[in-house]
Amino acid sequence: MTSPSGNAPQDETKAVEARDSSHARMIAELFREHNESLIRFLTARMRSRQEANEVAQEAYVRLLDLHQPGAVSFLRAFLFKTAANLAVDRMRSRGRRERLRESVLFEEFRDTPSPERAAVGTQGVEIVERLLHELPPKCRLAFLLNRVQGLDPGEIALQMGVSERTVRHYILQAFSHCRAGLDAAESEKVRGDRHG
Amino acid sequence: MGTSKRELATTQAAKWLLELEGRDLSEERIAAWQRWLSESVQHRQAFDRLQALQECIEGVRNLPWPSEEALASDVYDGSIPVSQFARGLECMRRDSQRHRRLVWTAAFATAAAAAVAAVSLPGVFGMGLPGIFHRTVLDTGVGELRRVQLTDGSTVTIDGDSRVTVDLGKAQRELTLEHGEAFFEVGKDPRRPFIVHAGPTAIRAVGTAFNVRRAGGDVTVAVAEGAVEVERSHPPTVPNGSQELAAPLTERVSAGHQLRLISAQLDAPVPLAIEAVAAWREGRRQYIGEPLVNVVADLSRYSKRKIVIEDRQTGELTISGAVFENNIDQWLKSLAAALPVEVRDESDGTVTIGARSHGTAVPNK
Repeated sequence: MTSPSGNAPQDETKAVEARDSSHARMIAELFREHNESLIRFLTARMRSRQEANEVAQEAYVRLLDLHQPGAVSFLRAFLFKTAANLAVDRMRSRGRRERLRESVLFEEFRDTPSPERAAVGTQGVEIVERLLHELPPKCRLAFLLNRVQGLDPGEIALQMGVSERTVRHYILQAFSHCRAGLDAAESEKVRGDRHG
Repeated sequence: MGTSKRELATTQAAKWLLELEGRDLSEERIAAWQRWLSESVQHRQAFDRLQALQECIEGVRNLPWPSEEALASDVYDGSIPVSQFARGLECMRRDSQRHRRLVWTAAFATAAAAAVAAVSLPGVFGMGLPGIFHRTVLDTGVGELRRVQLTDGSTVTIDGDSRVTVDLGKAQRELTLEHGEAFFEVGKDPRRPFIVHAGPTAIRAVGTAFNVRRAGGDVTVAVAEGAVEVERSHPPTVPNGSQELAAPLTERVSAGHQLRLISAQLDAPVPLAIEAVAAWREGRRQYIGEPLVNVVADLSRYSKRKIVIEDRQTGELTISGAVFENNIDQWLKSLAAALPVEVRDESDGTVTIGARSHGTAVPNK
């Protein structure tokens, strides 16, 4: 029973095909329903949309390779978990590249803006630079350590000698301030475009 | 309404973003986040816009890392929006340049001169003089801030509309906070204890820095350096006389703590950030669960504008957070959002704070 007999491979192939087509359908469904949030999720963890897209694709490939696919709910969990793991692997290997990117020599290799950032416009960066300047020093430090250095609130709390709760407050207030500032700048621009 | 809804969505999105970035993320939380995303288009937009913001931040070439000095003097604690804090600071700077200038009173002019003379010419002046010269009243007008160096090396910083009497005797240094608020930096002199009386309280210190505030019937003591002994020196005044008079009580308060004496009863000391002690010297007041009536009493020491609390219940509502002395109007405006109160500008310039007449938090039945 364990060794394949003469006509067994054919049967098996058929079975695999049947399973694959229903499996592929499920994955297509998963893709339709969850791809957007998967990309958001990965962008949050990897801080790069381009890499998020690449990792997402790889995660789908792993999903297709699954030998015993289960229900959609299982697949969804598997998809996010696989993607998260792939993201971690990639982040590790990124450390070296990241340091290179920081050097001025590699300025031209900075990644291209995402559709969202393009929508914000090229002034977005300038506006954000001004908004960052407006943040009170401790709040700014906590925010930059979190957003740029990728330290988590606990690590920042240790470094700054304040509570983790305060660090969270700093980060949330900084997010609100920058987001509101960008919104204001955009609506001004829209008004300006309309009238001028 | 639209703005605040959007702000709420931004804050929620930011919380999710922090959580998603975290190390231990469970499948349940991912599912919960997906549910939140699917709840409304605003949620999805808020989340995507934060990611767009992230990309902008990464595009900034010269990141404005704060300097050590800037960090050391920063008092922002994240409890209020950045813009509100910045407005307060701005008003404070402008105002401190104009009116509320810190006045350094020249070392007690005459008294200091006499003390120097007494040291250099002991044979001529003897020891009788200091007692006369060292008894002084220091007071400030509304919105004034005064810093006075005493002959023993101590310094008293006096907030607006406050009065401190000083009596530097041979055996002890006794000061009395008649009303208002003052910050004491005590010069070392182990032979002469330094005592501050404030209503029913005596605060005893040796080589320390502390703040004493009187508001309504309450006394608050906050310590920035060293420690003080707070003693309830007079029996509490009991309105109906039915309550038994408790024995005198002392409580030790160490640096980074605050103690409140409410209706002549000593509370246990509670922790308070050192930089929050006497923050009023920099134009900011920090409150932890402070009754509104006391906050208004403090603010009336900075502004001639009359603030009236309509009823006792409203006055007992508590406030936590920072108030900028020179941005009181803004604070009054935001009050209605924080408490179930209504703030009205009267025609004579008075501001009235009363219970909100409609749309209260408690549903009517």
